[in-house]
Amino acid sequence: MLLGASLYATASGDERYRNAVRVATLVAFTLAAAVFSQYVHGHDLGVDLLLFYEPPGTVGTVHPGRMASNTSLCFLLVGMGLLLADTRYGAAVTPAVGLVVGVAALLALVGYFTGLTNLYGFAKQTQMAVPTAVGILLLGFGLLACRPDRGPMRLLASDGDGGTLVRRIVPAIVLGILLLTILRLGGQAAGLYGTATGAWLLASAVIALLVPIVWRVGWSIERAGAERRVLAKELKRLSERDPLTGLFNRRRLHEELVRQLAILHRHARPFGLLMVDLDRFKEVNDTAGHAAGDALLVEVAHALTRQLRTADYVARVGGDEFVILLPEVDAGAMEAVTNKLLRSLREIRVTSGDSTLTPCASIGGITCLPPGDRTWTPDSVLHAADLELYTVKANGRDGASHRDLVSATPV
Amino acid sequence: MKALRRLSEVAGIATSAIGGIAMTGWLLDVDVLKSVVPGLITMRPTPRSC
Repeated sequence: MLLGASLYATASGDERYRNAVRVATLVAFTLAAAVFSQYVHGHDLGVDLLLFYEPPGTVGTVHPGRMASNTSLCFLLVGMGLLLADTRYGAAVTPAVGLVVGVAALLALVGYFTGLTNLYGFAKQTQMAVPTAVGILLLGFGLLACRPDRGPMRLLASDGDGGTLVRRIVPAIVLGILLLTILRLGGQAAGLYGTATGAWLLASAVIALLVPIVWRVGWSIERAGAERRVLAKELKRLSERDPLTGLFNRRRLHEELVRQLAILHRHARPFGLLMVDLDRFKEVNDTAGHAAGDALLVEVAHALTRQLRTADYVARVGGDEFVILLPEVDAGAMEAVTNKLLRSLREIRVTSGDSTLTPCASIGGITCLPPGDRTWTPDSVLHAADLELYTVKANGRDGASHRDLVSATPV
Repeated sequence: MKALRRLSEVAGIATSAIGGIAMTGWLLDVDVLKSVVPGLITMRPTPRSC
């Protein structure tokens, strides 16, 4: 009664009963400890008939009024589990105690159902009663579940795949093995097979039960892993791509610029940077609409990509602003690529209603030449390309400007 | 998580109820309340109070 009340108050977490719970648990714990010590040391502390008189010779009783040794041990453990529930050890100890006493109570009940007296009491000692076994089973379950936010029980309460697996598989294993054992004993009692055959049949049945369950767990883990890999790949793609054009975004361009600057300094390999800005793109959006503007941006992205090598990087860094990174190019190659891009952009035709849109672009380019300068950063080289772009804009747009950056060149 | 905590509370109440029923059995000397099935082992006075 005391432990049941303590369990209720502990599970509910009601602070008002905190001290009452501790006192009740301590009383039960001390009582159980006193009885258990009587079994261990063989003395009589006078606690057996403390409340009621019981005549000698009662069924299953050796010492009148005394609880069974396994019962006292279970209550001792339950008391300890409840006292430790809110301490740092409670997260592990309390559910462990719950499991141990729960299994002990379950064994006692199985003993009653199967007639195996050793399962609910030792020979020549008082035995555990059926209601006591049920009570201890409930206390064990209660200890397992009273702190679901701490320790190993967090997994059971988790909404994740692990929690779902545990909630499904643990009951299946427990009930499955219990059922198989009952069938094995029933078959033996009916004379269908002997002890050895029964043991091997049970072993085979347990293997047949557990192997598919473990397989299922493995399959679930495999599937979760595959889903995680797909999600990680998609997340990476989303984090480095522009959703409209599918080109790289500013973040990925920055990473690549850091890499190219490192290669320039270490291996003396030059790289080029082109900043492409569509001329009067705002007018396209204002007159033809944003859908037509988006279609034009997609076509521009395709045109740029078609004219470049696989090793080049094209990024959309603003509304109508693109940056092209060309590893290992010299000034001559940069000029050729720029002219090719301008020609390709002028060939674009996007139909919007009755009108046809043709983009014009300004391109500002730089070539970062070895040995480079350690003060150069992704932002500073982008700024240098931007300055070239504004030179083109200032000179009437639809054209290109380029310069080489070498060591000590102010950026 | 809330359901588990609730089940734990119910287990505590049920255990106390079992103890209470057995206590009544001892007070009124009714064997069926002490052992559920007459003839089986009765709950001892000390576990009932535990």
